[in-house]
Amino acid sequence: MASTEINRIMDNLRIRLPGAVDELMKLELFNTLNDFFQDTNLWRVRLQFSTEVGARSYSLAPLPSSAYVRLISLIDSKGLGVSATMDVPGTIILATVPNTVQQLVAELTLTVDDPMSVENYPICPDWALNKYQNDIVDGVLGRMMSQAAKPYSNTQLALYHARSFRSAVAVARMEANRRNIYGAQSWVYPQQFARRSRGGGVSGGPLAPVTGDQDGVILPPAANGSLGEYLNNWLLSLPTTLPPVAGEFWNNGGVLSVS
Amino acid sequence: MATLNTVGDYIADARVLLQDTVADYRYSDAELIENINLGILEMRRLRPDLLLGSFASIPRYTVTGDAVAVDPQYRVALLYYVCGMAQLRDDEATQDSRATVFLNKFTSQMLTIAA
Repeated sequence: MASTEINRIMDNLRIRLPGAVDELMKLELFNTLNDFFQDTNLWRVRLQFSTEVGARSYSLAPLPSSAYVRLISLIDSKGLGVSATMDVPGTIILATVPNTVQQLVAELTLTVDDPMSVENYPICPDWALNKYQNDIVDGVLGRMMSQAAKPYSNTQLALYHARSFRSAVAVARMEANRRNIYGAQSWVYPQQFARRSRGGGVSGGPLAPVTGDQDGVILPPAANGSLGEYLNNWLLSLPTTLPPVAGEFWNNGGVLSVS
Repeated sequence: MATLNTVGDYIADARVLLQDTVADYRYSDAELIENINLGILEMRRLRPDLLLGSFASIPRYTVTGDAVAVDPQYRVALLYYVCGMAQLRDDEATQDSRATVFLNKFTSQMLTIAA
């Protein structure tokens, strides 16, 4: 069953788009959310994994219904930055070959991906849908109204809604950078100025799965219930063939730890 | 009252608009079913979004019990198309203007709100 947030968004769209069919609105909702999460870096996950001696390349286990977008940071157990690249989303390549086993924590951004929910809706955190509901509606309206030869085609309104959506994306990106803290600096300590720079590199070692170990990660305050519910559902839906994944999701400055 | 769920519902409602409710009928079931199939093809051309997920295999109906997979908002439009195509036939009971009205109404309902 679709969440309250999804139902509210769909009702808003149905009212504003007479003649539009639900399946097309779901398709454009997916496209809009994909744009939104890719451009804002809003949806983040922290994954902890162990390095192997001599291995530079590490493939992260795929997360259900989401895809990795970019690597925000990679730190070791002392909180120091580790240089790495992620040319292919989900595959982290360390700049230097590790000569010891160490625990690293990668912070990555996510976007929506298959599989969808039973009702064919994209799956993403409810808090994001709730907080940016009107902006997401703007994005879908802009896309729908820009289609040719439809009862709801409207070039002027399409431009209006698309511009509103792009403005909202910029605001959301800034809020994500500031971790939803009012008056905070718009940046955290930039990793490019850490002890070592993120150099390029080519994979030189075998692929290794991510472990589910959460030990040693400093946890910010817990997230609220709705996100916890989302994560619980997400964990329950994990395919049993995948290795366990540990993650932390940010929610208005808080983080929920799961393992 | 039928809500245009199945091929049979379309045929029954089309016969009312065509004044063809008494057997033996002027328009056979097979002709009206073919009109439904032609209407689906026209919907694919005018509004591909109505057949999202069916592009590789456009639905084709053969018996009255088949469920017609058309969004409820556009079922009446398809009914008008079925009637319009039936009235295009060269027949002493047929009026070309009536056929034109039905087919135009189908097209305008596909593409505009106020139709």
